[in-house]
Amino acid sequence: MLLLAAWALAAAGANLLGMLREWREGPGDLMGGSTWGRRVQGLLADLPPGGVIGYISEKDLPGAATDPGDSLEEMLLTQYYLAPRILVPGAEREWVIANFGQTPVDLDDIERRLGLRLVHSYEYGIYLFQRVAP
Amino acid sequence: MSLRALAAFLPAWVIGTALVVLLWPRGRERSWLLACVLGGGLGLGATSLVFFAWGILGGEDTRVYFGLEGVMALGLAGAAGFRLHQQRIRLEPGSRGPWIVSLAVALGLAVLLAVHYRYALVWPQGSYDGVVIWNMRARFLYLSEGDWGPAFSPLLNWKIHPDYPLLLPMTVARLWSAAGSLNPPISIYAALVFGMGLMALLYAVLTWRLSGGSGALGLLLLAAAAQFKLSLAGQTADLPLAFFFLAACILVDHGIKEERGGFLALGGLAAGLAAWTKNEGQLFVLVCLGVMAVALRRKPRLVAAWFSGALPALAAVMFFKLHLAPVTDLFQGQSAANYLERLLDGERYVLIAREAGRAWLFSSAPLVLLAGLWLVAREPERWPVLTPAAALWGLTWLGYIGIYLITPHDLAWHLSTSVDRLALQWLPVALYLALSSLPPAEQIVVRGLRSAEPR
Repeated sequence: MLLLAAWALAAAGANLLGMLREWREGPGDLMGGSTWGRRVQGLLADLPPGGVIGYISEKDLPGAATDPGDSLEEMLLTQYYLAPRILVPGAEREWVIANFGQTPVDLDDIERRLGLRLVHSYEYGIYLFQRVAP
Repeated sequence: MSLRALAAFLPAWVIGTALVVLLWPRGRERSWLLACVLGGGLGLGATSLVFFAWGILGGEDTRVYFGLEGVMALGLAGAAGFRLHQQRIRLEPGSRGPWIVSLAVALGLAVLLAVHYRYALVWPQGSYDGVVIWNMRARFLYLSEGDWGPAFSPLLNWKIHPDYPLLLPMTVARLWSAAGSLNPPISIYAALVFGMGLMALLYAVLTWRLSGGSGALGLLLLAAAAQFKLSLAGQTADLPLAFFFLAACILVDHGIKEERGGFLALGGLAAGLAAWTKNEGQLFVLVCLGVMAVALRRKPRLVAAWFSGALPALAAVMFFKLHLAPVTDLFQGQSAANYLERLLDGERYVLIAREAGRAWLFSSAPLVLLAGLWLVAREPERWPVLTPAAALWGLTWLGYIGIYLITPHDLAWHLSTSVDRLALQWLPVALYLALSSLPPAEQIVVRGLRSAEPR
């Protein structure tokens, strides 16, 4: 009986020691989640206070090979900072946010192909477009 | 954190504690610690309901809201004080256990708080789920200025889960409203209050039923669970849900065994708030009804007492589900044939058993349970399966398994992203059951030392 109680306490102790080790090393950043707000901060001033906003990313570029999971996670992090606006994938809305990260892009081609006009270019590969073609 | 946000915890705590004092059965011994800890969680849940009702009714000026909440807190505190005075009730401080155990608890809590602080610096808005599900919704509610439509729009990606109930987001939005700004540390503190409240509840109830040593042992085992730390830092709703599960199990258990309407009313309130916290809580409410239908089949007065406590939260859940929330992704576009096909797939059972078993084996509860079972072989009257709390635990887990069997999502993905959290939701109840099946921890140590003496 005492042995089992000691076993349970030892398991608890090992977990607490693991926590101490983590405290020294610190947890990994959550996909830059804590800094994501800085990336999209500029958009807040240029977007209307509500409504539905389009969202495109590297995966929407011709020949893109980006993991759609990453793209979705970044869209949802962006959604957090832009609430109560609603982000939907695609370029069919009046306002469209583009998140291309480090990927080199031909902005003229995007404007022409998707019927958009570049409104503002921010840091970290974030752009704001407005629809010009119906 | 803003002082105004900090102050907004106070009326919630007063309202909850007063409700516990008012509903606690007459003539039943009570402890200050248990009343205060239960009151803290129930009060935050109750104020989230009132804040929701205020929003639904179109209330705009939050100064008026907090004024009304203050009046409500004062009124209930007055009624509770009157009851304590009239019945000459003394709340007992409860035993603390040996000093060495208190020291171990203090050390364990210090480590946990240090780790939480470290995480909070890097994850100020919580883990991915904390950001995308829970704090996202709070942000929508706080920033939408009374128009909650966008928060539940079907256009939102399903991973945001606009169908999830609102206790935690409403609590954070309420605290932001009190602060008057989007202050990120508030969600960190809300998570901390629920996490510490859960540990304190387990400690208080084990101290109340057994001893200070058993309470401290339960608290340590819970705090040391790896998933507990992640959930605390992640600011998800699993720890608030675990709080209401534990509270409801204990109160319904005592209500059924002792046939006390007061316990059942409080248990109903906790169960209703569990349904208001996460969809799993709605399954738990159904399980509660099933257990009571069997255990209290000829006692409608007691079932009515449970309903009187559960009704406010269940009404909010019904309103939310019928008028605001989109259909849950688990049931969207599914037919009976889809469900039947999955139910007949034997591999799904194997995968679920393997993953659920892994989740439980990594927690400390099975070790304690093992010790309990060893003892049960000698003292069968302590067998935990015979208690209503154990039935609630086991039947809700059966329900979880049923949901996994019919889930339209990839089962391996669904299990890998949720089963550890489900185990955490029920770890406090498992620890309560396991430790309740043992004698007080102090006696175990004495007995063990005696048996170790040379004969």
